[in-house]
This record gives sequence, C-alpha cells and structure tokens, in this order.
Amino acid sequence: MTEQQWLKMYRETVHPLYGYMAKRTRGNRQLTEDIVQESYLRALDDWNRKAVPDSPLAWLKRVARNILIDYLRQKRWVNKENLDLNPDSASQTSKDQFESLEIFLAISTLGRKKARILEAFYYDGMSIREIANEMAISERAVEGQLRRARQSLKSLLPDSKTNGGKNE
Amino acid sequence: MSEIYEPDNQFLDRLEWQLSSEYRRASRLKPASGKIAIPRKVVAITCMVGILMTGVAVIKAAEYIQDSWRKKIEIARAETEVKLKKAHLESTREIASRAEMRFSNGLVEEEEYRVIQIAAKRAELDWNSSLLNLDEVKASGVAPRNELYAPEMGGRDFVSERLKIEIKEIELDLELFRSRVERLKQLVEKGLVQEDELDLIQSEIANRKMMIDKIQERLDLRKRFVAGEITAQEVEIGDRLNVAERNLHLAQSRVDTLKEQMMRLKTLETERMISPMEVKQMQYALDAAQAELELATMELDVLKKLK
Repeated sequence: MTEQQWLKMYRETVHPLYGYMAKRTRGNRQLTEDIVQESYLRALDDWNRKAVPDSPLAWLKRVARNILIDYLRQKRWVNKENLDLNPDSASQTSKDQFESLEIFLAISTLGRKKARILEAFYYDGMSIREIANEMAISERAVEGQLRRARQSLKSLLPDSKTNGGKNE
Repeated sequence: MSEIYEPDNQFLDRLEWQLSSEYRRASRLKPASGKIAIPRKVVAITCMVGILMTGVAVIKAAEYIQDSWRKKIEIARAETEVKLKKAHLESTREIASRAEMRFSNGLVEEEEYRVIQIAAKRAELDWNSSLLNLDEVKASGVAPRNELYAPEMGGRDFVSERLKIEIKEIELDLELFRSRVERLKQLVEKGLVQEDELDLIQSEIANRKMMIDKIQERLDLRKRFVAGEITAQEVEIGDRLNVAERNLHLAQSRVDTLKEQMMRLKTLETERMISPMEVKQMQYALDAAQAELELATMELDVLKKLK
C-alpha cells in the first residue's frame, strides 16, 4: 500500500466512518474524533503488518465500535461527571448524551444479531426494507427481530429509554 | 443528515496530515523487503526471554566454570575406570572360583591355583584403588594427586590410602614368591632345579620387603606433613631421597645377583659346559647394572647435599 493509496482510502472512508460513530456517540464531537483517529492509526499498524482488508470501511467501523465499547465499559465504573462528554454539543445535553451512550453500551451486550438490528434501525437510520435487504431476510422477520431486541434491551435498562423514534 | 454527524474540515485536514506522517514513519521502521515482519509483541516477548535467558546463561556459565568442566571429565574417567576394574574383578573371581573346584579335584597344580587366587586378590585391590580415585576426584574436582605434599580432600588422606594399597599389592607378590620358595627348595633338594633360581626368588623377596619399608617411610613422611611438622619442600626432598635409596638398593641387589651368576657361569665355562659367549653376555649385563648402581649412588649423594 503506497502513501497515495493510503490517503485515498482515508478520504473515501472518513465521512461514512465519522457518521457511523457520531450516531453512536449521539453527536459527541470530541469522542467521535478521538475514536475515528484511533481507528485509522490501528488500521495503519494492522494493515502494514498484514494486508489491507477487502472492505476497509467495514473493518474501520468494527474497530471503531469496539473502541467505543471499551471506552464506555471503562467509564461505567466512574461517576457521570467524569464521563468525557462535550457540553457544547450542538443538539444534545450532557445528560442526554450520557443516557444515549449507556443505551449503546446496553445494546452492545445483547449479542451480535440483536445489536446489529437495533444499531441499524436506531443509529444508522436504516428502514425495515433496507435492513431486510442487507440481512437477506423478510421485512416481517426484521420487524419480529427488532421487537424482540427492543424487549431484551428494555429488560436491561432501569427505565424505558428506548421509547421514541430514530436519531434523526 | 444533521451537521453533528459530519466531521469538520479542520479535523479532516489535521487527521490527513497526521495519517500521512504516520505512514512515512511506519515505512521507515518497516523491515526491508524479503524479511518477515515480526509483530511488536513477539519482538518484546523475544527480547524479554532473550534477556532472561542471557541472565540464566551467565549464571549457569559461572556455575559451570566454578564446578569446572574438567571435574565432569575427570569424574567420567574415574567412573569408567571403576566399571572396568569391577568387570575385571568379577571375571577374575569367576576364574578363581573355577580354579578352586579344579584344584580340589586335582586337575590344577598348586602353583597355578595360587597364581589365579592372587590375581583375583590383585583385581580387588585395583578396584578399591579405582574407587578411591573416584572419591578423590569427586572431592577435589581434579585428577588424583599422588605427591606426598598433596593436600587432604574432604577430610580424607587419599595419598596415604593409596600407599597402603600399594603395600598390599606388594604383599601379594611376596605371598606368591614365598610359595615358590618352598616349592623350589624341594626341587633343589631333589636336584631338579639349579640353586641360582632359588637365589633369584629370594632376591626378589628381599627387594619386595625393601619396597614395603620404603613405602612405610613415605607414609611416615606423609604423616609428618599432614601433621604440619615438615614443609612441602622437605617432604619432596625426603620423598626423592626415599626413591633414590630404593633405586640404589635395587641396583645393588641386581649387581650382587648378577655377580653370583657370573661366578657360576665362569665355573661352568672352565668345565666347558657353556660357551664363552654366554659369559660375555652376562658380563655386559653386569656392567650395565653397575652403571645403574653408580648413577643411583650419585643421585643419592646430590639429594643428601640438598637436604
């Protein structure tokens, strides 16, 4: 991988990666930027030693998501004030962001299938049809799985934070 | 899509610059083509293991040098010697056991039987000597030392123990010669053997007795050295004197024996029972023995002056 290829890949993936992560951090700019930066640095290290994956964006998203989960797990054991959230965020209060991140952390513990469908619907803003196409299942099946995932999430949270629509 | 899900340009430019710099830095650190890229964790672990191994190796090397590789070689050599001597002992014991049965059945003569018995006893002494050497090597880490001024090892005086074994070996010779003397006397009386053969055996017996005396003197010297009564140098001179006296005695004994034989041969020559050539050969042997005697006398004189 030459420097030109590396930078080309960066320019192609940075917007979707940033959007993917910003939705999960509820628009927390500082946290999103840190995670995106760390994801690319890990990519450079890993791809230099191994090879560039077939889908660099998917690899980056997976790594970014894991970084966020690790970050949240570490912060869960300290109080809310210590959570590194940006109070000047454009549309969210610090408390809202904290609750949003807590939900994301809860989703990440549900298991791969449920987490994937909830994240796709709530964070990535995908429609039932789009999810059905991506997962190669029927829309009805997506609805069923989404309902069960919601119930599982509800049981994990103290009060109903899953009520309401999508992020956007 | 909301602005909050879009990166700002400042962040993008900064990140691009950083990733470009990181790429160049990684390229500089990247191993040359053809080489296998080793993960940093593996390198770190390898380094740690290497350092530990080096430390262990240094300690082990120090211990190994301390113990001395020579010690291992010497022990192996001494152990091999013990095994060989043991095998020899078992073999001679078996032969002796068979000889005893044959002797009791009258199938073997007494002299042959005695020789075999003494060979078995000698083999046992050899085995004891090899065990002694092995003990000394284990205690000292070096080859056994036979000098009278050698230090004691592990509270044991190996030099004296070896000298005592030497005495026992000579006593075995004496035992054999004495048995021959009795038999030869009977044969001389019957006129079956000439008297000079008996003289030779008695001369050998006298020599062995002298050798035992000399070993006893060495033992005394050793005892005095271990007790701290005399120095190593005094022991060395004393021991050389002892050896020189023994050599002088043996040379004198040989000269005396050869002179007697010469007288007999001359008588036989006058009776024309032997040729003059046989007398001449005896004269050469006597001349050589006398030269050895002179040399031994000179050596003794030099050592006495040193003392």
